[in-house]
Amino acid sequence: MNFQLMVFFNLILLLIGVFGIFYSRDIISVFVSLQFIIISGFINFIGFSRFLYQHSLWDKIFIISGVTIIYFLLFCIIYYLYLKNDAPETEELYEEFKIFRIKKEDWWGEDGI
Amino acid sequence: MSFISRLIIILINYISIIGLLVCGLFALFIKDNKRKLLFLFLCFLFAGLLSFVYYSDILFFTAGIMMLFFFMLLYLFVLQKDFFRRPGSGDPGKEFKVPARSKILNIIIPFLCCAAAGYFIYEYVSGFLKGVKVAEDGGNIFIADWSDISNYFFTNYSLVLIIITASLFMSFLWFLAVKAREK
Amino acid sequence: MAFLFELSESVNPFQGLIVLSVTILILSLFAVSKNKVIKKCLTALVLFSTAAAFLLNIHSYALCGNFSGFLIFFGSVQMLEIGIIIFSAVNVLFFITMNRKTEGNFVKELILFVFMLICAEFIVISSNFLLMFTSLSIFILTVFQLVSTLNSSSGEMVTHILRFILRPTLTVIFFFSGFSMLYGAQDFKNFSQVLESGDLSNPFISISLILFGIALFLYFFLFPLQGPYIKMIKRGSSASNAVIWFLYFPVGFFLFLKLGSLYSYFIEENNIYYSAILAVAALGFMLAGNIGAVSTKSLRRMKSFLFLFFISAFLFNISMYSAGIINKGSMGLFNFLNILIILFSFMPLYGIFSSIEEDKGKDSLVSIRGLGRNNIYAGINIVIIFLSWSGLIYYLKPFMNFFNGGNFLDMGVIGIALLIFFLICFVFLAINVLRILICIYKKASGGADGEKQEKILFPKFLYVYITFFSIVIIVTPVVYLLGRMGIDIAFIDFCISEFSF
Repeated sequence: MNFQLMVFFNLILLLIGVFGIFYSRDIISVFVSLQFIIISGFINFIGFSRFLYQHSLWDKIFIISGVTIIYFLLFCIIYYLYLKNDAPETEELYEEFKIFRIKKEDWWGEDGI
Repeated sequence: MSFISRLIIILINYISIIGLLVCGLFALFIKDNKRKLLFLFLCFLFAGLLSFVYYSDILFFTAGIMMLFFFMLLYLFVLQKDFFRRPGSGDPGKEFKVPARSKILNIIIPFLCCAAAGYFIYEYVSGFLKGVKVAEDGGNIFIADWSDISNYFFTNYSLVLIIITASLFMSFLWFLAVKAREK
Repeated sequence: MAFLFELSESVNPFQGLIVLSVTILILSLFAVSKNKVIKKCLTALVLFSTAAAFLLNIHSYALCGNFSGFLIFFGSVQMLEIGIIIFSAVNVLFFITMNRKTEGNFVKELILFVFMLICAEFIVISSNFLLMFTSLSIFILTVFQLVSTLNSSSGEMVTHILRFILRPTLTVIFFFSGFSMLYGAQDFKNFSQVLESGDLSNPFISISLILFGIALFLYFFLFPLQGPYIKMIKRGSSASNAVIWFLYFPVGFFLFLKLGSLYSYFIEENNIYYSAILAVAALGFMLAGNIGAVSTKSLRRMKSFLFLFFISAFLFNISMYSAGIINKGSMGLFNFLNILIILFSFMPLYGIFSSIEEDKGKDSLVSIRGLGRNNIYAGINIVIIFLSWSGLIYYLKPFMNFFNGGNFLDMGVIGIALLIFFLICFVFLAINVLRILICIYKKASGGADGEKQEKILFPKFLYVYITFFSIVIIVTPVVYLLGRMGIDIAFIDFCISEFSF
């Protein structure tokens, strides 16, 4: 087992997540991309704990509370989406939804209403 | 630790890293949502396997509960979406069309940005990592169990626990509020 | 009485939080109630408890001074920040009550609102990473819940709310990643440990700071990623907009101040590239905010762009500091003055414009045409509020020091560029203000039949509300001037001109 490999692997996972957020076209893919950044953080915590501070409990505490809260937040978002699935305009979320889409109307002129 | 045990752990480590990477890439690029989620779930299983290798198996069971709830809801949601597809969007020929040029740019630009960021981070970190002192493998292994964690949690971080519990209660009210409006 | 004091000391500095928690408990007993009288009583209860929290916050600091624990740190700055948050919360409560008192979910919204306030206070006082992260995540979760409940009557808002909330969610996830990197540098538990370690050149610390920076950039919806925020504000209900402007953004800013000490370490390294990037970013955001406001006729869009301009002014303060034009203390003072200007000008403006919007049923510059002629009192108040923005001239003072005493070229290239671009931004801001003022004092166009337009009337309490803000805006510079002239003002023990951080 190699410490450097662990660090670089996590950085790759983080970058895959960031790439996925830019690349994804529908909301499910955006959620999938978010998971990579979370997994990267998760492995960072347990990896550092394993290689650097073997008797630390901080990482476990942080992961238990942090992951619980993050997934609860995501759970609430999905619940809301699930509940309002029939609302107009939600169809756009599954076809053309980019989290960082920049349009001219975002900063110049009116936005179509 | 005997040589064979160490070898097994190293093997599991490499298998889970490779599995995580491969499943992750599949989950990212496959178009079918159900398969995408399947690969993502495999990713989480490999991450759980890694937590065993790094002596943090307790996290697989505690943090995994919330993940499971999230996955169940997401999977249900995707199933429902596929089952009740709107007539207009059900036809594959009528799917949202994106020009080929924009598709390619959509891959290349983020890839180049991430690759550049990755390269700079690699340059920045690699020198430092060589000097880091890593804990020896042969010493005593410390595997935290639930009583250690709960002791630490309740002595120092009871406030955090109170806030999280309170937020669950508030969310219950919110579930009611959003649901009531729907009727 | 002695028992109460003893109790108060033993729970220091959580007195305010305990009062708010008890309020939530009482509110939750009536969570499903739809009785009008009960709703009124509960609103009054929330108002009293926020007022009590405000007083207890000051009282606990006066009684026990700084408090430092394993999870929290409570000092003078935290006391001030909590005061500002509670003040804006009272205003948001006012807007929520105005817009939502007839709704069936009103009591649940009140509960969520009070809980959000508790989370905001926890963000401010937390020093431990875990408490900071948890309270931030739950704060964002509660913002999402409150905003979605406040907009539940509109089906088309679903997409916009989701687009909006995914950015703060990403902020939370980046914070998680950033904390995991900090853990790699050393077994840190709070930011003061990071500073004390002295080894800030550690790559893990730098990477985590970059991640925090990206997270905050996403949180504030800065240029060019402001799309979801602008769309949300344009379509959202008035109450949800108030929550976003007066609670979500100030709390984010206080979170940013927590990281400020770490960033200022790097600024003190005096890296020219760092200063240049900061300056370009700040000016880009400010200019983009103003240009966006110039190019639209929608009042909501104008307000939200101008809000972005003021948010970017925080970055401008930091870039002035990094260019060596002001010192760290002045930066803190500038930041606080900026947030006070934002709150004291946007709140009454928001009250007036949302009331007109409800009255006329459309969100356009045309709807405020003739307001100043029809309703002279409101017109004068709006002029006074806009005049408070001329306070931004204080930004020129540190630059002027170079012209008066020192050498003009000592400012450096970045300093000169900052000055020039700030003047351009200020001109754009003046154009925006003039545009609104001209519209207000323009002759109202006749109706379809050529009849004279009706007088624009507001509810009576809105007159009281805007008068309060106008009086504060007028009194503040007068007190300042008297202080500068050395005239002793006996009724308060506080002199603005000597106020420093």
